[in-house]
Amino acid sequence: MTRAYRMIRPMGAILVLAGMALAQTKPILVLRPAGPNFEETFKGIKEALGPTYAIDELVVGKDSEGDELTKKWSATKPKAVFALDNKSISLAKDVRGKLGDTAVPLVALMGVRVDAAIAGIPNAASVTYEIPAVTLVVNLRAVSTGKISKVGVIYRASMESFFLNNAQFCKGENVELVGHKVADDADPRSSLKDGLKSLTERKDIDALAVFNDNFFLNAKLLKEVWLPTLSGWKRPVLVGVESLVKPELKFGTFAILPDHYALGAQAAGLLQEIEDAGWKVDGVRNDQPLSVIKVLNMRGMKSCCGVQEGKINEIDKILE
Amino acid sequence: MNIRRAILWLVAIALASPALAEKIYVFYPSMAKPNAVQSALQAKCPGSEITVFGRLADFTAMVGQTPPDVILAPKALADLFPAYKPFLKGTRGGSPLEEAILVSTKPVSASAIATLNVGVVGVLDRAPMNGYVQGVLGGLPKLKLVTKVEDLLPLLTFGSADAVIVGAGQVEDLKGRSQANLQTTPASGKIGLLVACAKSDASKTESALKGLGVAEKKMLGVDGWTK
Repeated sequence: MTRAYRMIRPMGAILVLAGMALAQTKPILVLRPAGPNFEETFKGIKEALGPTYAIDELVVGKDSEGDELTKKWSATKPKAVFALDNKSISLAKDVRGKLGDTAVPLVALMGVRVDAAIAGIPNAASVTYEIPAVTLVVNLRAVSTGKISKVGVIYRASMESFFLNNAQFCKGENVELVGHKVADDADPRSSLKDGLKSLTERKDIDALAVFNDNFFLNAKLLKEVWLPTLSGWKRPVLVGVESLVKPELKFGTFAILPDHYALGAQAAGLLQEIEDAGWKVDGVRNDQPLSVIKVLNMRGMKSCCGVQEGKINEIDKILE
Repeated sequence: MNIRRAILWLVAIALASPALAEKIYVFYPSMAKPNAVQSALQAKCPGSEITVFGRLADFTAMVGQTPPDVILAPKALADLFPAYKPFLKGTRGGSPLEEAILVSTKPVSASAIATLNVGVVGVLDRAPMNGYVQGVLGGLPKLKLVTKVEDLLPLLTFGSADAVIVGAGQVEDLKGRSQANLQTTPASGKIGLLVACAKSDASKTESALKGLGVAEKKMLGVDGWTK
């Protein structure tokens, strides 16, 4: 056996093994915008799926068009596609249609109302980005000494199904979600003021939950309506944005935010279920987000309700 | 006198220096946040450098990249690092194993486990986790892995799982967070609690762990230790 042959033989074996490994990996394409939250979700997807999946990504910008994705899709030949945010979902929907590749399942996440964004699309599933009200309440109850059984919320008529779904989840935890519905064409300022007045005048409302809807939640309305109306209201206000629980703002008591890494891992688990079903999504599949990050405004919490002893170590971040 | 004082200072600084501190990595999912567990353990083990991980992938990567002197992890995970030998086993009620319990909103039958969707905190990657759960339950349900103990309850709230599996010591933590009518069903098997493993002599860590208070031990899911 020549020296060259002795060297080539193991290299050949390595190449064969590498080829076998490549053949066993499943190509997955992730479309996502730039930014730390999306990177964190991508990390969660990648680490949960592990090395048997060959994960490729395309960072999508505001001006991204279908051509770039079409090329990437054709080159990758993905077994499934993750689309993070509404722009990615829309691009994936278009390109999949154009390529006639509906056998490739689409998993949508991190967009506004992703359930609506994938409605009617075959072989698609989603993980909702909006944190359900029941999650806000259960987490508040876990640290508060006060009773939390009725929670007020103001919502637009177009979000009624979202509200009803949330109310149903809350019922399972013995919480009544008390809604104040506002017409979509109503004046946001006066309708918000009326809604807040009607909810805060009720003695049986134990807390308020604020949906992330910029119709009601923006800097102008925060200053002109939310802050003055709630200034004397001594009950917890649950929000979905960290900046709203800064103690100096005197607004939110407890913020519940998506845990992006865990959201990615959850979406990866959903993909594996789809894979187990032969890369097929049966009917409509919209999962709720399971994992959250909790930020507590300690000053606000102490001024409205007590904190259970020993429960502080279950909070991710405490603002004093 | 001054020279003697200076020498004592130098010895104290040398003893406190991180280079001499035992490096301990901890991965044990519980209701308490990793930073809270880390602060609590660090306060009780001042001579050690403790890092508590909240993510399995970070823990396994760091054990590979910057190997610690000691690891504290659930037995199933610690077994993946054969270079680390157990020197202490966490116990509850005197046993290093605890009963596995299925928690659900509707009655479930442990004998029909293979037909259920069951949520569990991932202490291993997905494929080995299947084998591990099968070993504990005696059958393989469709697994829903979560990254934190607190994420088990939403699986039940949203109907994503028929049941979740926890150790007996975590049942009250889970039930305490919920006002739903949660039911418990003993599964057939047992779960190994936390173990402390080291590459070499870890007598310093061993005595520090044995000196932990009730609160710190609770964070690690144990109430005592055995060899």
